[in-house]
Amino acid sequence: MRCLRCQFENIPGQARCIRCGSVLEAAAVAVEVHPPRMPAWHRPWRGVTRWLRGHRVSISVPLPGTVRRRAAIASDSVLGLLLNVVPGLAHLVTGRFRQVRLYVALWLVVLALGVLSYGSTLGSVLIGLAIGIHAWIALHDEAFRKITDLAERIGAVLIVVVLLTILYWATPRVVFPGFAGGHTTFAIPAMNVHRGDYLLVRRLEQADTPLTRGTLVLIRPDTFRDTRRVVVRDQRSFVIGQIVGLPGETVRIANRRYVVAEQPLDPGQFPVPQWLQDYPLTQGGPVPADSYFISTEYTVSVHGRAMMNDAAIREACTIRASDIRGRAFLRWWPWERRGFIE
Amino acid sequence: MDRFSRLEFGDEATPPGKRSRSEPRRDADYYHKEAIKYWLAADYELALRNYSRALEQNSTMFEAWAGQVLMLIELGEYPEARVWADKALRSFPEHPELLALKALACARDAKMDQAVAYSDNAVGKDHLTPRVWLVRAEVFRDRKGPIAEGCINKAIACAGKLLPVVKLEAGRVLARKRNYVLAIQHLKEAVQDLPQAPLVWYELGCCQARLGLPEAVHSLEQSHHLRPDWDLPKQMLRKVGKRGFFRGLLGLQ
Repeated sequence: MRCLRCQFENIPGQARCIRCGSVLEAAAVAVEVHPPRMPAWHRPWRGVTRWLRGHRVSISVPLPGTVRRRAAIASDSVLGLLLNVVPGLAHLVTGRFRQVRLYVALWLVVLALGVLSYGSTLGSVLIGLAIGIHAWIALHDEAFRKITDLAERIGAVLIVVVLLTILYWATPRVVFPGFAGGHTTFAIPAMNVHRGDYLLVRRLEQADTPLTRGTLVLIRPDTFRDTRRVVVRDQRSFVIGQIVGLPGETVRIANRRYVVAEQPLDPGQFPVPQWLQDYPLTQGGPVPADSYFISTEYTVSVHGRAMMNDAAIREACTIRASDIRGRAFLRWWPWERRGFIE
Repeated sequence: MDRFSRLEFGDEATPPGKRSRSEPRRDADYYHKEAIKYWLAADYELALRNYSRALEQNSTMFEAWAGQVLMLIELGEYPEARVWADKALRSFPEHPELLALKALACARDAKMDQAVAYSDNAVGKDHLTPRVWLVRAEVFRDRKGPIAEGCINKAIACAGKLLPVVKLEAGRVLARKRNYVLAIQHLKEAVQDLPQAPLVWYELGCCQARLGLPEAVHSLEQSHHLRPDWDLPKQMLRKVGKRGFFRGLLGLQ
């Protein structure tokens, strides 16, 4: 029986060629000759995955001497991860930046959009996505080559995501220590500030910096105190408030307006928050020398048999100058109202 | 006479015994030739069907197995092509051309590491076919240096009577490498031997259009004339006809 491929004359009865292994009796055996076909709906999905793979993987090119030495150092997983604090730096050092250039570009775009929309849900989602892309860039090359077990890979991803989240949280605080931010809890029409806006705050250089009436300031919640075990202010969120009363001035509320030193203030510029409209401050008292009367939507609860009275309200709204962290200067979010605060 | 004898079943209407002399015998070779004809007309679906028919007649026909894998690759069904190449490899173990086709499927599917491995494996075997070198040229087309050109030269050297097809494939590989000048050289030689193949004219037209050569219109029209139902030459002709904003601004063409 002659093999069709190599023309070797085999012993009769052989199923395969002794020399090349080709099937000899294929014609006699029922062989499926119709190939499997791709469902049409797979095509776009495969195109996307192929495009992603095509830009991630490239043939390893022999590296020049210096780059090879750097690559030997950076090929260690831990060192590679450390270098990837800046996305793509490890790849740049080892001359493989081309493999991740699209991911780095995507990371930059997502991060920029996240920063621009910071303070909104969209901003949080985008920054989370940027962290994910960063983790992928840091891990996918060396670490994933060494870690093949799925559970270990997931664990590695989670650890890196947590570390990067801490990094992303700490970086702006280290790089821009003079800035902070917070959401407003009430609207001030005269300043074009709406409830929920995210304001950027410049930190005060000195605690005793004099502040003017109407200034929007950031109050750190960890500086809030119980007052006489009667009124407790909410300590869960950062608060932006408006300075209404300066040291030594008396503040009260009449006809839903602030009256400071017996002079009524414009409610468009100095709106009375909702909670104070329910508990009007009828009797004013002088603001202590080292404090300000700051108006905002405090979340106040009364303990025990105590009643919400004027003294408790004054106590809740009086903030020491040392507890004021900064002065708001820019409406950051939403985008359409972005601008400096006059 | 049985009751179904007068029913018409297209090609099968004429009984084998009464086949006229002018009509060719529909055996595996016939379907193989038909498949190549459809492939050169860029009708990969029909080519694949004809390769399957050839295998129905003769399941040991290696060219038909390889042709099926190649058509699946041409149709963009790379995982299926790999599966089918594996199946063919069961009948033709370690065949360099099947390994090369598997490498091609991997390369087109952007799995370059696997593509290089399969191509290395294929090149290490004996009795290399031109396809092995053509695939290697495609796998290594992004590398610096004339590696792809060297592989193409080797493919041409061992092409034999397959030279026109090898020239066509070489032109296509070089076009993917964006070496349009050399691609046009190969495709022009292929066109001389395969003047009735729309695929060759189309590839030639595309390369000429990339270089902005006016001959592109003729090549694409020729392709369209040979196979009017094919959309790609028509689309390309429309693209060539357009000037574009920047070309218009600069007064080019």
